[in-house]
Amino acid sequence: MSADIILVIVVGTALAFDFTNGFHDTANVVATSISTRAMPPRIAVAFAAIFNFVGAFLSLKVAATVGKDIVDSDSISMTIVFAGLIGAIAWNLATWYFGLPSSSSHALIGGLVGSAFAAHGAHAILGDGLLGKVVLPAVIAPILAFVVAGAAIIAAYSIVARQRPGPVNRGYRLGQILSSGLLALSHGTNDAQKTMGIITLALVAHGNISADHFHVPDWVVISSASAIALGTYTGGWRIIRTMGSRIIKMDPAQGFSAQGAGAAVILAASHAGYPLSTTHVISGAVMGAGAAKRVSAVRWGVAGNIVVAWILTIPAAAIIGGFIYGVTRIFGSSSAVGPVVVSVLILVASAALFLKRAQGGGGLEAAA
Amino acid sequence: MIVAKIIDTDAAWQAVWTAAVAGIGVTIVFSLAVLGATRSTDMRRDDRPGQAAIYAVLALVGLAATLGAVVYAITLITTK
Repeated sequence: MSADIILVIVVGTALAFDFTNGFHDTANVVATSISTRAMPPRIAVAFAAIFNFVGAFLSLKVAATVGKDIVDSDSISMTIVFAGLIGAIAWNLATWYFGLPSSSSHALIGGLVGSAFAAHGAHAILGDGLLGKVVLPAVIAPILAFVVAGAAIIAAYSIVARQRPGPVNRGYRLGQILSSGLLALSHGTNDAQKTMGIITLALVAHGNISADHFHVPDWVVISSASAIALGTYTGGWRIIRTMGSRIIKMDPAQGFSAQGAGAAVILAASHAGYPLSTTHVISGAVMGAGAAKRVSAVRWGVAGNIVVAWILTIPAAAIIGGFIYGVTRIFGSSSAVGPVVVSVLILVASAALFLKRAQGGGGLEAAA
Repeated sequence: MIVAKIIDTDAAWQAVWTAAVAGIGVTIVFSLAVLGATRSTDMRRDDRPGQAAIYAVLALVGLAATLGAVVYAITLITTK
């Protein structure tokens, strides 16, 4: 009975995380379209939500990586998965509150690694998988997106050089409808799968699925797709402002190049099963498209804040995940009381942050 | 050597070059479509229907190539 309650809490928490992932990452998908006025904000967000939902059904390779290749699924309990999720949600809320576009994906992986480490020590962590499928792609992907977007915008400018800017901008704005749809699709493909992997990992720990026959049930796919789409629609307006205008002012050609490069990198990585950070990729692409035109056009101070958040994400979420695991253990390793108490506390903390945010507190205006 | 042990270099390299070719390629073919559409309008306005038609074809081919690349990419992901 207690295990069933924990499973329900874990699934609910995972879907809540998926919602915050969509909420937090809306900026990745829509910022450039809004910044270049290719689409009105509300339409851009609705468009992104629909394509996020569709994208979640395209592939399951990333879900398999999250479920099998980062922590040892045989030594994972539902409490560990729960603590990892709370670590990720807490970090996501903190970076949302301060307007920093950190990585939900790395927060999730960091939280899971931290709670698994707290429970079983280093042997529960699959170091090769963590390094080869998370850390190295995390370093390579934004650099690749930066280079691809930079090369793409140089090619675009050389092709449309000496043309009247009015029709050219209109053309690229139309193109951005396609490129932002593709970016939303790629976001749904990569990010929704992480939640699918986490829920499936909990089902393995509960005994519903064998670790040797890892597969993602249909209801997990549909619920994860719905949660991320709903989160995306709800949107994160504060982060949209950071991504859309505080990093760089873009023209429609740059927006198209950045979105196209971002989508290409995320889709290629999803195909290979790498759980990438869509935030890292699109930030790299936006900076690449800006720097290729004029290095000083990129607001490197804001970009620096983003890089600091990237570096902090996995360790910070890991520390919180480990701490939460310790808190839940106080109430007993297989008791549902710990997850219930922590869930209530995180709900109260979230409500307080939302309330303070609504009243206009917090933010990084001074730092930017 | 150590990197090759912990990362599937073939898959990683394939992801890198696929992303580069797709990201740059789609931007190039769509830019050709924008160029074609813009020049076609200009030529029509200057009463040069022959050149306007050629640029219109360039615009259509560029647009078709862009859409084709997107469909191909999605098909590849869903079928492999």
